[in-house]
Amino acid sequence: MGKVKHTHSDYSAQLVLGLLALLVLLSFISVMVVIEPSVEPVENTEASGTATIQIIEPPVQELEGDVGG
Amino acid sequence: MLVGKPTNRTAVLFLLTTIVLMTGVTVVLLNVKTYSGLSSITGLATDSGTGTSTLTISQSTSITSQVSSIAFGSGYVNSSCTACVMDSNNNHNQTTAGTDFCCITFENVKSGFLLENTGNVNLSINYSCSGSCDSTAFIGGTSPFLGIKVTNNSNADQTGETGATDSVDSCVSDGAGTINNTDDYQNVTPSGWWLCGNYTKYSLDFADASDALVIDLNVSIPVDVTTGAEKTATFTFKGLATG
Repeated sequence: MGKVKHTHSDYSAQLVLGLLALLVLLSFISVMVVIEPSVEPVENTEASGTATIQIIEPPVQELEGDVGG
Repeated sequence: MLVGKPTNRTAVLFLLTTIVLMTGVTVVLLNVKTYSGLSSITGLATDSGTGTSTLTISQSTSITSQVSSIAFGSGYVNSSCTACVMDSNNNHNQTTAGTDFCCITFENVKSGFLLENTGNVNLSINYSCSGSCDSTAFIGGTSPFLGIKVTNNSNADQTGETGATDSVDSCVSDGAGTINNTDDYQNVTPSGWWLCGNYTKYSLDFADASDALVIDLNVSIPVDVTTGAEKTATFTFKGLATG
């Protein structure tokens, strides 16, 4: 098999393609800079509520009926 | 002309075309950013005579406790019962002994905490508690219970919202649903937990028709409970949102 011989135009075409790839990369980076990130710090807000209870002694019950005989 | 092999002329034409296109796209993007209201928030002063710099933040993160008190009052357990069970959702005196009610002289609480998203972004809601924040501290006795539950106000139908009472479930946005929106009460703890959404899911909607939650409490007071001073549990409900 013979050795592949590269012409001057082959190298020029590769150079152009390389430049194109670089342009695409730079364009992508510039677009990322223009379109700013949407994730930002978390914000907080608060509200409160109170629950209360008290356990008390039951009232003393009066005995019914007559005492004694 | 060879087919499939780029020549100098075609490559240069391709390059020039790409440069023109990229320049055009960049100009369009910059114009869109400038004139469509997408400009970023900045503290840079404008060129004005007074040197005033203005900043407008359009996002509002806010929850409001429209009902902020659950007061079971004072009372005692009927000695013929094993426990008095009460709920803040108007289900007072859930236990009976024959025809006798077990909860004596306590208040019939008809409303839970009503939390409304009064901002303009979706939120996730959690709680923490200070004071008498578990069943033993709040009630005492043998096998007491202090439970917490969250319900969409479209189901609870409590009054008191800023706008109309919700007609649509509130805690379902962003695909997360609710963490604790079931019929099952969970034990109250000082550290608390999520009531709606979580760290990454902001489930409480802000739309007026679906922006409110009801946080109910359920207590079970055993008959052998010790009497004493009023016990207080203070709940802090925190709403989180992305900026």
